Formats: sequence, C-alpha cells, structure tokens
Amino acid sequence: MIELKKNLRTDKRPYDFRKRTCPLSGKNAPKVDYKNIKLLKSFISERGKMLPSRITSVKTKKQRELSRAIKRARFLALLPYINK
Amino acid sequence: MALYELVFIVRQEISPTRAKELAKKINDFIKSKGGEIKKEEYWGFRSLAFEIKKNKKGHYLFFIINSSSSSVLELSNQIKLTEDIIRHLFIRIKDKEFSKEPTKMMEEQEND
Repeated sequence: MIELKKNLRTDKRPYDFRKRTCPLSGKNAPKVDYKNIKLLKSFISERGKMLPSRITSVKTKKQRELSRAIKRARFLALLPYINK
Repeated sequence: MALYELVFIVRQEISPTRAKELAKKINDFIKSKGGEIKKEEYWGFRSLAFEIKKNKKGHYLFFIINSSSSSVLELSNQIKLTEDIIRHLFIRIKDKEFSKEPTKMMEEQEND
C-alpha cells in the first residue's frame, strides 16, 4: 500500500520552477484603475470576459480590484460586456 | 467634504463646445454649493464599446470634485434629468489616491 502511494507521488509532475509572480503586486506594478484601459484589456479574453487569476497569476486581492475596475469600465462603455 | 470622481458621457449629436458648456454648468453648480473642482479633463469624442440609447460615440468628461455628499447627490439628480448626458458615474476616492497628473486616458488620446 505504501509503495503504491509512493508511485502515485512520482507520477505527478515535479514542482514547477517557472516564475509565478503577480504582475500587479510589487514595487513598480501598475495601479489598477478603471481609467487605465490598456492595462485592463490585457486581463480580458478576446470575447471580453475577465481572465481567471489561475491563468494570469494575479493575487486574490488584486483580482478583486481588477474585477471592480473592469466592471466600472464596462459601465462607461470603455470596455465591452461581450465581443461577438 | 470628500473627494469624488465624476465621469459622464454626452450624446453624439452635441458639439464639443456645447459639451464644454455642460462642464461649465457643473463647475458653477459645485462652486455655488461651496465645493471645489480639483481636476477637469476632456477625454475626447470616443467611440463607445456598445450602443447606449442609439449612440455609437460620445464625449467623455471627467472631474474630480471636493464637495459634500448632499450636493453630490443633488448634482447626480440633475444629471439624470439632463437628456444630453447618456451615462454618468460617481466614485468616492480617498485623499491619498488623488494626484495632479493627468489620467491615463489623456495619454491614450495622444497616441490616437
């Protein structure tokens, strides 16, 4: 039984060492704001949907800010709700 | 007294000079209520991401206002009655979030 578990563990991919840091945290990170459309556009899909943070590796707190900013920009017709 | 950001969109048939007159009206209203305009910007005649009341384009105007909440509420009600304004948004901001530099929207305009 123990051996089986060990095998399972080795089946997993070894730890991914690629850098995974939040693009919105840190010293020189851009400020999340509904007026900065260029920045917001990089966090929405081609269809106009918000990208999940597991893809963009944005921290939870920043993702919340981002979500608020995108919704404000949408209300002001700066960003689309849907892109057909 | 608190800081507020105001963005509103003026419908496409209106000329830029008329849109700026509307901006002046808001200026005068805030001043008459003892408030203060901290920043004023004209983001230009931009195309909207989607149609609003049959408008495909609109004039964007931006303000940062230092005023009491009651006069902001009153201004909001007046804006709602103004048919030339198709959409507006008030946001309360913290004092430390205020900066004198022009917003990102002004940069983008230069690139166009």
